[in-house]
Amino acid sequence: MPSVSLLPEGSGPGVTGELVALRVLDSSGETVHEQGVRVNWWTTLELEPGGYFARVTFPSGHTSQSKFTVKPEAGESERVVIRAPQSLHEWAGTPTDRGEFPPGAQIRQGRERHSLRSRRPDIWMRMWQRKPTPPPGEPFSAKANFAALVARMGEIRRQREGEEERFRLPGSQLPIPPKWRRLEPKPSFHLSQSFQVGPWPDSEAFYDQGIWAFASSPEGQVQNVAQLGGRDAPWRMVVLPPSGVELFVSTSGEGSGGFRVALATNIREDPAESVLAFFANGALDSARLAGEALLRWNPALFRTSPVAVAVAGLYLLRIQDRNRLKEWPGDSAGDFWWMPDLHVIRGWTHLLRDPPDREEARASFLRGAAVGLPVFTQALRFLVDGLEILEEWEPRFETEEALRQVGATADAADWSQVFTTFFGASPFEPSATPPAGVPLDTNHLHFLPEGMAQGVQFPDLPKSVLSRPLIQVLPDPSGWSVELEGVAFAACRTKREALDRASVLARDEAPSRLVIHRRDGATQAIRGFDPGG
Amino acid sequence: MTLVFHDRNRNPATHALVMGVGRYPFLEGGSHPAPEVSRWGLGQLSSPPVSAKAIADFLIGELDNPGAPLGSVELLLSPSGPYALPGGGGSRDVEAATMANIEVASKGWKARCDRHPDNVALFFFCGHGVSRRHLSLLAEDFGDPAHARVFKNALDLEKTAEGMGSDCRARVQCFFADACRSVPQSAAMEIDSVGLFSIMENLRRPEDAPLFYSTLPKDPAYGNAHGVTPYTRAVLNGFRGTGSVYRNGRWRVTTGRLAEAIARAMAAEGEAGSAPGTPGQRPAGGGQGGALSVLHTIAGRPQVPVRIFLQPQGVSKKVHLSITSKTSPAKTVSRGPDGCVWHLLLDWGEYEGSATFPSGPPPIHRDPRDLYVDTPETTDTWEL
Repeated sequence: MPSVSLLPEGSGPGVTGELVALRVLDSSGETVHEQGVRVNWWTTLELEPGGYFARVTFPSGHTSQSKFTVKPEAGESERVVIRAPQSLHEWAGTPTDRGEFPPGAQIRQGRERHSLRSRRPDIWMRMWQRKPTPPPGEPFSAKANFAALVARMGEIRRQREGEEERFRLPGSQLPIPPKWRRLEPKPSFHLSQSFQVGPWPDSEAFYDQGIWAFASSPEGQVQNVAQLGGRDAPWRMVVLPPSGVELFVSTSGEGSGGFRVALATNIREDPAESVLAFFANGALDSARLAGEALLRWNPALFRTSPVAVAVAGLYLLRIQDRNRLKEWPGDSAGDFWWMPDLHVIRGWTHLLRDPPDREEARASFLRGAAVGLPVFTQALRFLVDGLEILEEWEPRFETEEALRQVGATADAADWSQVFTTFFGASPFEPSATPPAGVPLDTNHLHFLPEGMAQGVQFPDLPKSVLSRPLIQVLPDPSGWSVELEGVAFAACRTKREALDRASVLARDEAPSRLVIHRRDGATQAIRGFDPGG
Repeated sequence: MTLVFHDRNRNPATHALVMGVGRYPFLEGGSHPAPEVSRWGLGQLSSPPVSAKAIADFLIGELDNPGAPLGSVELLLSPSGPYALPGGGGSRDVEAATMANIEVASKGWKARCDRHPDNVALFFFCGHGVSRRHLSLLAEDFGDPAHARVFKNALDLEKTAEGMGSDCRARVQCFFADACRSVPQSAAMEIDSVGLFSIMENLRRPEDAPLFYSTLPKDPAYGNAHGVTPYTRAVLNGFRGTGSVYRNGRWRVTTGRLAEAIARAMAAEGEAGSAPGTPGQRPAGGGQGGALSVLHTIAGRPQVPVRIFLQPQGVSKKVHLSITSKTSPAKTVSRGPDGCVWHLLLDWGEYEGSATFPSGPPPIHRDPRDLYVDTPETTDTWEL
């Protein structure tokens, strides 16, 4: 049978190897072949002679197509190139293909609306780091370290019970309202509290027309969480994968706070997360093709890449393939014990057994939560869902506690992203109403233009402009609250009272910025306070 | 009466539960606004009943799934009232989408779906939604001050889907939620709605159980006053053709292709520019499954939205364009000078496009170019 070689051609090196969905249709429209293929890789098919269309779907949902004819005479195979939608920036092709950045044509058309030249010198970033402690014993034995974990949980529960007693008014059974308890130090089991701000890892930096890219190779066992924010931009965290990574920041004027963040692994042979990008964009059929291509890929990948192992497991969970989940390579990937996603997947394999193995599932989920933050949004979703199901079946303190903490991250998460992204003041203070502005502590803080390698100077803005602390008056279920840089400062019964408290605080903290919200959360007014003003 | 269509003889069959909630007496603008919830910025809606009726119309009048023909449609509307069956089939009184009615209707729906493993279960809700970790869909009587729990009259979509999956034999279970997923500040800490069904211990799950959300978590969804919402329109267009794939001699709407069609339709709407104050709405997917289940088949070729971007923009206002089908009989559509994007709705197939600059002199004819129109949508850029 004659053959044809097909090449989905990406617009730059950033997309090489990315998984896309290829469909070949005959002239009647019948799909004669479909499979996941890699960008800038040739794929050879044997086809009956005739006319065909090849159509490639990218994770963004955009498609490219090409018509070709297969001739009956045998000989050198036909070569067909199918070109991807062009990115404005060749090296930022990956987020464009995934729909995270708009295509070049769209940016050009909206040139007036979206400034290509950054007017956002206030956008900053810093890196939070955490090195998890290896559990004793067999790394992937669910029971290992579980006893210690439960013991720690029991200790916390006892502390909590004592705390409840302290929180009762003398001579009364009435508890003190929770809002006042914030004033007291609270014993807690913060799974992620050991994150600390560290130096930004050595990285190559690129800049071109409003997009920055930082490429680095973090150390596998250290969990890195990049935090970005700006003067009017809510602070957001992005969990970085334990592999070579490119962090893209675009100041195209759209997105929350006027900038976008995208992330892509830059291991050319391992762009497994494309599968999850298809899911994130609702392209279920193409996700299936990409996922199957990943599973057919070189088995060695699953011995060396925790990202590929995790994506393969998450894909099998999404399609509910219980049989193949039993052969999921993560079970033998003990070297990657520090990757929380793998524990979550393992927990689900126990949950989906008939009957479910509750104890193993619970232990795996708890270990996943204790190791760190799931790298992939999908894993965070599965972790929360798994803990919730266990809680519904059999409430237990340790599950409830893990759910409380993981759930707080989930509540603040941006579910549209492939990599776990959430808002908040720090990795252990997630918040759906995060602070904006510039942190008071500028240690290890990098402003975007400082990272540029191509000579764009960081404007000489006075520190007082950049570092104005943010004070907010926010609605509260029981009244109004005043927050300083995302931390509760005062709880008030009336808005008037809150405004008075906030104004005093803003004057004390001047230069500062006071943002007043309405009852529905919308911004009502923003006021600046200068020293002596 | 809420069962607007029921054919007991069909087994396996498609069973649908369709709800459109526009009247909320206890929310802002309602007949009995409750202090606790009437300031959440959630008011009265006019498009959900229209959207729910449009879905019911499609199911009763057009659904063609040889593997699971339509077995039943349970419809709840707020405000309640008569529903005219498509095709002049008379009128049925439809009950209001109160929580009590939803609970009763959902039990019946689940029982019907459970009768055969090859059944297809369809759940469609259009109305207010509030999201924290899960999506709570608000029944008509949401916020009734007679209940201590504010979210008593709301249902947790994800837990409902999980509970249904764990205790219903239907292999295909699709949930469509055309509702906001935003988080009102005041409600953030109080959302404690429960699922309509308990999650059973065996955690049996259907083969294909996608959740089709109209918007991303924390984002609002939009509707057209007294019209079908953009999302529901995308769902219907998906069923009517854009979500189909040609396999074994028929155009088949599958769960996976339908999801892609909805996503592309909403993306196209966003790229085209939304009305002021209504930013682009991006749908989202959830649930589990292989995404290969057939929900509907189409007679004839599907119609596909086509967008042709013309470059450079200035020149595009002087050009005359035409597209001719290569099939027999050939059909030509054309347009005179206009903006930089040409929006078309064409039958699936192969076309030839041409461009002429009539203002010359002399008139310039560009070489014709091929256009292959395929589902879920087709876009092309013509450099003129």
